[in-house]
Amino acid sequence: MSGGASLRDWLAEVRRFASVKHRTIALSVLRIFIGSTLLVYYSQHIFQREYLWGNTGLEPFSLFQQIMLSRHGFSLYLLSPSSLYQAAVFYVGLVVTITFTVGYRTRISSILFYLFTWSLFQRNIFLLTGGDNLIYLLAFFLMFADCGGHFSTDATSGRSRTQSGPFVAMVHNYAVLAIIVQLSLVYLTSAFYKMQGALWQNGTALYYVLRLSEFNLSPFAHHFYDSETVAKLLTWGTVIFEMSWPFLIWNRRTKPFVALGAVLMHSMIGYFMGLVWFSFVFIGAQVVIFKDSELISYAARVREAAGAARASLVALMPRARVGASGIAVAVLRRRKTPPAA
Amino acid sequence: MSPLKLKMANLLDSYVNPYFAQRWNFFAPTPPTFDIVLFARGRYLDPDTAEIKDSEWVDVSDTLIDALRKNRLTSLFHAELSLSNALVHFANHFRKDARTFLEKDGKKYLPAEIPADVDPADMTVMRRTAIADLEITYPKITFTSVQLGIMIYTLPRFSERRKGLTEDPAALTFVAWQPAEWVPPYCCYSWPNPSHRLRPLWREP
Repeated sequence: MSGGASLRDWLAEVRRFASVKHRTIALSVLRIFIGSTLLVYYSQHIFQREYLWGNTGLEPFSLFQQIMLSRHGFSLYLLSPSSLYQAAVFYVGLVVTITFTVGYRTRISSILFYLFTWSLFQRNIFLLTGGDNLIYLLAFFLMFADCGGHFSTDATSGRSRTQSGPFVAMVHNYAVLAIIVQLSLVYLTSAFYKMQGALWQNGTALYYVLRLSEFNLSPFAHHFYDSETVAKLLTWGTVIFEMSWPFLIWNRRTKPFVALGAVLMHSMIGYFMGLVWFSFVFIGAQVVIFKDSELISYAARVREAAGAARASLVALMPRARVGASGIAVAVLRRRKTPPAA
Repeated sequence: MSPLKLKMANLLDSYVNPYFAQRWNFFAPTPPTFDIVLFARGRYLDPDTAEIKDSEWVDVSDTLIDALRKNRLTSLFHAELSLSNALVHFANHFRKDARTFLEKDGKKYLPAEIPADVDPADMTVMRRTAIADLEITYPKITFTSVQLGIMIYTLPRFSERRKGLTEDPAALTFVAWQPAEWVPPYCCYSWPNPSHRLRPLWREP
């Protein structure tokens, strides 16, 4: 009897949990990261549009058609070879990306964003990185989630509804789960592939990657492989990090370190290997491992630390005799205390 | 594979590709141990002498990599990426095509020249990138045809990592001349001294 009651209680608890939207702050941040990446692509490519995405550029329309046919793919750019139409789809895609990034009517703009992003990426598949692959996968899941609840025009104008029906909340939560599972899949499969390779096993893989001319962009890169120990530690460290990511993100204490590790690893990939936007997307994706309450608590701690730093700076300024600078004068005026002699 | 597994694999494949494609084997299981470099030269009719002339060879790969080296946020990143992707796919395709190697005494050799219709999709991207580069290098010339050169450099082994990269390619081949269609040149990149990217011509095949 009591067993049945506790099961009922447990089920009720699960139902209560599932009928409230989770990680809405994280998804809003993810929306901004993904949207910004596409916004950079669109704005940078305005002057390269014909070369990268046009009919007379790298991939002529006939080749594009052939590739789409062989992949059973779809793209809005496939509907007409007219240059005017191709340009129109590109610029409408830019407008859609802006609306998605700023969170304007996010429910509709997220669907349009997926459609236009997918179409753009299919227009020239030679241009894609793993980051772009992740973008269109995450954009797909974001269509089903509430990603406009924060930092959006929807939120400021009151269009975003924090309270919603249990079904909508459940779909949102499934989308959140799908995103976390997808990211876990990325890191886990990547680690498994690496573990099969002899160069990853003997700890020299990173050397070969950094020695390739297209990834050997920094004059400091040699520091990573000059020492055998450093090269091995970094190579094995990459595999261990990728392998452990799906397991460590569930623990409240380990997840900040996982996120910091990911930021460090992807920043290095961005700088040393030139894969800046790939890294940007992966760094942004780390936010989904945090609950809303955790993000609020971190933000409060950061504000507190910033406040303390500002206060100590203000306290130091009169003693430092920097009254000649405009900032210090303004600070002293606000404090209404004469500068120390 | 059992019929059930085969059916499941097909089902899974039709779900995953293309909309949920998962390609996460970043440099795995084995990272490349060689560099592939694309060179190109163009053929044109000299209006002054009415002679058909060939331009100098241009290092197409280095033009774009250098742009990225100078600015990680360059808008040429995707141009570089497309060339790099095409070259890697081409190299993979290359090994499977019987026309791209000669066999002698049980060893495989690259022929001096390979046909232009090997891997047409990647060849299109490589050719068009090369034409765009040639158009920027020689803005006053209209090319009628283009020839690509592919050089493969083997990276020093890890135990020899302090050695510099070798000047001599491990493999070198030319692609047959192809018609040069007009390609809109990529923008936002200028060379202070265009001559420095023209390499002295190596020995013709």
